[in-house]
Amino acid sequence: MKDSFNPSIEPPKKTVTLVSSDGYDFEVEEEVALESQVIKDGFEDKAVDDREYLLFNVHSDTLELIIKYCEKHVSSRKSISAAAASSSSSNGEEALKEWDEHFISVDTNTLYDILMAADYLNIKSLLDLAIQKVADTIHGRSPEQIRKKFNIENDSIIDPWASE
Amino acid sequence: MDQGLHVHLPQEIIYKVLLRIPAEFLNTLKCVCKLWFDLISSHKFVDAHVTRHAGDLAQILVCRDSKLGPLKREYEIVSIQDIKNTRFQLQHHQLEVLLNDEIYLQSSCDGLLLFESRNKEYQLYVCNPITRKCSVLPLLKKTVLNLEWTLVHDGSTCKYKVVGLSTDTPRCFVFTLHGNHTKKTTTTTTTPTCWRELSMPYQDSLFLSPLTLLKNELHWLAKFPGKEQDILYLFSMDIAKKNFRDIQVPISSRRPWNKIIEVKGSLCLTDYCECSNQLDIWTLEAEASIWIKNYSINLKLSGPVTLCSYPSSTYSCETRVLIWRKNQIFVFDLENSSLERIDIPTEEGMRVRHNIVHISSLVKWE
Repeated sequence: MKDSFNPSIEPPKKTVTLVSSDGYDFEVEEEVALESQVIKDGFEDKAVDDREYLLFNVHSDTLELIIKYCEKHVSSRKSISAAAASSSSSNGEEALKEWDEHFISVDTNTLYDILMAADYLNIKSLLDLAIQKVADTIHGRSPEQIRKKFNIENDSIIDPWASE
Repeated sequence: MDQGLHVHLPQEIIYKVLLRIPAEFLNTLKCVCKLWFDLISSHKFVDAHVTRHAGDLAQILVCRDSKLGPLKREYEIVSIQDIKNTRFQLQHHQLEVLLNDEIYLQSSCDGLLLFESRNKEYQLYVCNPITRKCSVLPLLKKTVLNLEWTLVHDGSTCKYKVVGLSTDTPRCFVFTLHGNHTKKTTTTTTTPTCWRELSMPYQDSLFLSPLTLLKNELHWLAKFPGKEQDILYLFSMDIAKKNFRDIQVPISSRRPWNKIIEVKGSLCLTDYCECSNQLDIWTLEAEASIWIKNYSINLKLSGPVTLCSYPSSTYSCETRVLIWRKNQIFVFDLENSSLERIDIPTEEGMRVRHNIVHISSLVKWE
């Protein structure tokens, strides 16, 4: 049968170029870039030979981290579904959670940069991760500690029990 | 040491962050700055917060005998925090109810509690222990015996309502909560500030279960003593339209501990046999009006138990059932048939009187 002849030559991986706000080019695999909903939405409209994205709001230092996160998630998803297909047990999800935990354990300013980039590029899982990290940082701290950490001016002394 | 942020967090990010903070801690965060105070106080935030937290955190209000005297009651919140879906952690703290009366807990809804006075007949209080707001409801000027009270949220008007159903006389009393009832104010709202009385079509029926709210309807099990002694009915009352419907139930009325619960957003009926330790769960296929037995489980627990659904929430697909026996709570997961035991810490000589599933929120009713 004609159909059964299927040479297993993988096509060359398609790539796109992401340009950071400070002018650095990052060539990444298409599926990694498509983790961003913003890139995905505009993807079909673009010509095949013009897949370059100027990310005016993302600095190269942050973009490097974002790409690292997306690459890890794309590869983990593949290995998890492969393990599920061969019905072999895997702790892939658990391991990815641990990786995420480690990834997001950064200083407040880096966390802010990741958060804003995830919001701008609309990468939902990363935005969730970053927001949860901020929430964990806040939980259990005094208002004074929170103001200091997040650069908030104490503009009024409010009694929390007062009627709104 | 990590340095503070050089820039400011945008408002929509702060909003999303605050949504993830438990209600108990939000009052402290109101002191951070004016913007945070305004965000946390807004109705939009309060609603979004209770929606988000309805499914993920269960608390149980435990009423116990106090050392202060035989008639005094102590209320305590026991939180069951689900850790990685496999183990449970207990946290408990005293509940502060700022009421100068001897009270009895009747119902809990979206973090609000309904208490009944033990000293003054038909005196009810609504309070939120987190915001420490409390309302004294106007007295119900009626002599009705055996009233079953509950606090519900009417999804059609987005208002909280106190509903009292009488078992002896087929009467129903509804009070819509809005604003401070202790003050006399000239408001432009058309909602009446008094009790509304309705008659129910079920003469001489007898309650056999507490009231359960699901999909804007109150449900309870009842039978008619005398005639049709063993036939059990499910009665439902539409909170908004105030109409009633009933359907026969496929189990006998002789087992008094059956309950109406919610599993995966559907109305279910528990049928527990003490002798065989067998728990059957029937689901009502609403469109066809038929009952289907979905689960048949051997609990392997001896002695009488009380069953209850996990904090019901229309937003979660809950498959867990709470089972109470003396000072222990069991969480039974219908999906994988796992049973987890939680002990309520009690001092010697104290007895758990009753318990109600509860969540913490900043919900207001004005």
